[in-house]
Amino acid sequence: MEKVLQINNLSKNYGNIRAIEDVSFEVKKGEVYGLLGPNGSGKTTTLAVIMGILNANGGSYEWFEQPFSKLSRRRIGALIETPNFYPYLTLWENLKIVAKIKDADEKDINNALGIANLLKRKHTNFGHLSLGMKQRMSLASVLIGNPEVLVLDEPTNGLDPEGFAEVRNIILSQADAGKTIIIASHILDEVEKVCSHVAILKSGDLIANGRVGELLSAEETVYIQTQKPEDLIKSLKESDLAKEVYSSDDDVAVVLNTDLNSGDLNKFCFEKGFTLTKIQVRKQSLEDQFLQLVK
Amino acid sequence: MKKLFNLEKIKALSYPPFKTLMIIHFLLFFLVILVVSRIHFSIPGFSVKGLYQFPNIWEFFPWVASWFNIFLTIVLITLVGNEFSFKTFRQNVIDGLDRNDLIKGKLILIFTIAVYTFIMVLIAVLIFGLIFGISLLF
Repeated sequence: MEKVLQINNLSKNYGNIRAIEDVSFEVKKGEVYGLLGPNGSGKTTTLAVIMGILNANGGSYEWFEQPFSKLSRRRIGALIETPNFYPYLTLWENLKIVAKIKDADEKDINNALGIANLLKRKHTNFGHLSLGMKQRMSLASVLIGNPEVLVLDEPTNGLDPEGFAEVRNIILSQADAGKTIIIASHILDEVEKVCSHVAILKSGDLIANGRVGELLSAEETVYIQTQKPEDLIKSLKESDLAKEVYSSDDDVAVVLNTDLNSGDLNKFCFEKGFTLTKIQVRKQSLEDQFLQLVK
Repeated sequence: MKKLFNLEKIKALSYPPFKTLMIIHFLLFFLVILVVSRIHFSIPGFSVKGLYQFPNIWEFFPWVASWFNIFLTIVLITLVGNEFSFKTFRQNVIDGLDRNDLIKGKLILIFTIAVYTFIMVLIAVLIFGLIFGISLLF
């Protein structure tokens, strides 16, 4: 599949502060790629660097298997951080500026406003919009010129559940239309529902990446309770049964090695003399995975 | 260049303070030259009427217009400042403009305003110069 974005060992510092270091991943055509991480993990910096707003201190990146250029930028619609438009201009005038910059047809404006459900508001000043409408306006501007790739930085930031759902539906409809989408977000639910792939950043380091499905299904966790949890954790760590063992509230959470199941764990506990009062298999949610990774 | 000019045109013409300050600049300039033209004052070697005749008018009108350049300065500073405060410079770069294009755009805006004031003063000079020149003939 055609590579849309290739990032190799990208690093960026703000003075002595390390924003990102040695971040590498690739995005292929048609993927919905999530950049997930807590605040300050380097998501926005990564997007700002790959959009040419910031210069990298190290590493490289390529769009469409070529160095980033004005031509490749035309093929990308991007929203970085907050929606930035002229508050005294109407939506139509703001999008006219975007269309002129992108050398796009003015017909695209109505089309984009229609997709964002803002056609009726096209003569309203941007400054008079609610936050949800501003976010949808950002999406409309990103869609001008029918770009192949959408780069969205926290597109649902500050939205209520209804606005969240509206923006998510717009993103999903664009993904269904075959566009490649890169989304930075700290909202796990958003990434889980929208993305096909995810890269998790922590303090500027890429700590995991892959298919959302793989990240979830590979990490089935068994939650058990016993009277001596510390001893059980110790025994499990010494065994080759568990990939990972950690304490989770009153439970002992065990991520089993491949090809093992809860029955094997139960047998192991029985043989070691632990009486289990609870055994529950839970497919680890992205949140569990995320929290575990960023701990 | 045309694209940058059109972008600046949309940004400036729809900005209410731009329109207000440009109208104030225009009105004040014409108000001053109209009011002064009604003053009948002369001392040996100097007459107010003489200021409205060629060639003195070529120096007098631009001098009067220069008093109100502060309005044009405010307009320009506000328009450039807006780009930073609204973070639209950054957005324009994201959308596909070069950083150099942004600077060029603002230089085009400055040049356009300069051309506008030049034409405004030129027309005023020609109108008043001709009116006062002809009135002297009769």
